[in-house]
Amino acid sequence: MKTTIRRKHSMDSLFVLILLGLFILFLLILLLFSVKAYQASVNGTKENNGIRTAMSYVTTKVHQHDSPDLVFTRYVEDLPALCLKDTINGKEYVTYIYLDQQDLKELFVSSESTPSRQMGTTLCHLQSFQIDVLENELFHIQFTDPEHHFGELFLKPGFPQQGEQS
Amino acid sequence: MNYRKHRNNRTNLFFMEILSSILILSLCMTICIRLFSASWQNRKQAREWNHIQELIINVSELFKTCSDSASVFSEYLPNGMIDNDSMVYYYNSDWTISDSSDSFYQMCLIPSFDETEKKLEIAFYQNDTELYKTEIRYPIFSVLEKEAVHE
Repeated sequence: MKTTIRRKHSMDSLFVLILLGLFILFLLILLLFSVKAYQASVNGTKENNGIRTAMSYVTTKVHQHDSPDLVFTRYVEDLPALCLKDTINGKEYVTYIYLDQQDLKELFVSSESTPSRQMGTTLCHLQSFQIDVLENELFHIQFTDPEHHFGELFLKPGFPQQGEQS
Repeated sequence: MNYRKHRNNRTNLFFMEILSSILILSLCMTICIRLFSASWQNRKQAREWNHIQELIINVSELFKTCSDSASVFSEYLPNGMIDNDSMVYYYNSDWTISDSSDSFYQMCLIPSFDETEKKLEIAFYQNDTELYKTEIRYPIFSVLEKEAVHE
């Protein structure tokens, strides 16, 4: 009967409590790290989906039409648009890239048709898309996405500017 | 005596259990923190490369419009510091242009012109550590070569 008596040691419960505390601390630190990592990853994905897609798309499109005569600006109704001209089987077509109510849209139509803003296909969501034509056929295009990330592009279609040597 | 021996065995087992739990916990903690830290580093590097790519596109396109001097940079990309033949742009950790005192990243441009080509060396640094370096060259055509290309 004597051996069945169980004495409670204060250190036993203290170690269990310390272990529980460590475990909770570890979980909290892990949660904090995972939230930060997830937040950064979501922000990066949003930025990539919006502004980076738009910027690389516009850069590629302009360099596909790598001549100052083929890249110009015009209006689609009242919206400023970047225009890229193609000639297919002797007929001229224009690709319009413009911002319509926070949607960056692309519209490919014959140069004779009047473009309409509703006809475009949405590429991505942006808050602003501003095009300026500077000296020497240099295009300055600024992008802002709904999360207020900002990006700008300088694009010069065609040959490099020649100096006095030419 | 028997009772004391039995109690000692139980305490040893309990300590072993506690120690193994702490060991496993610290092992898991180390692995998880290393994984999250690697993910954060990768994200930071991807962000750096995105900005470097954007700046290289802009600078190389601007350099296309230069004829015989790099004045176009100071016109369209203001806030650069001219140092002999090079231009240095300072950016903070959010890649916003800043003063040299607040700088975290630096972009260094070294343009050069000769009779046949114009060349631009672009280098990015993070507090004196080189992040990326490249060189862009554009040929300078003579009038005859230019006409031949157009034909």
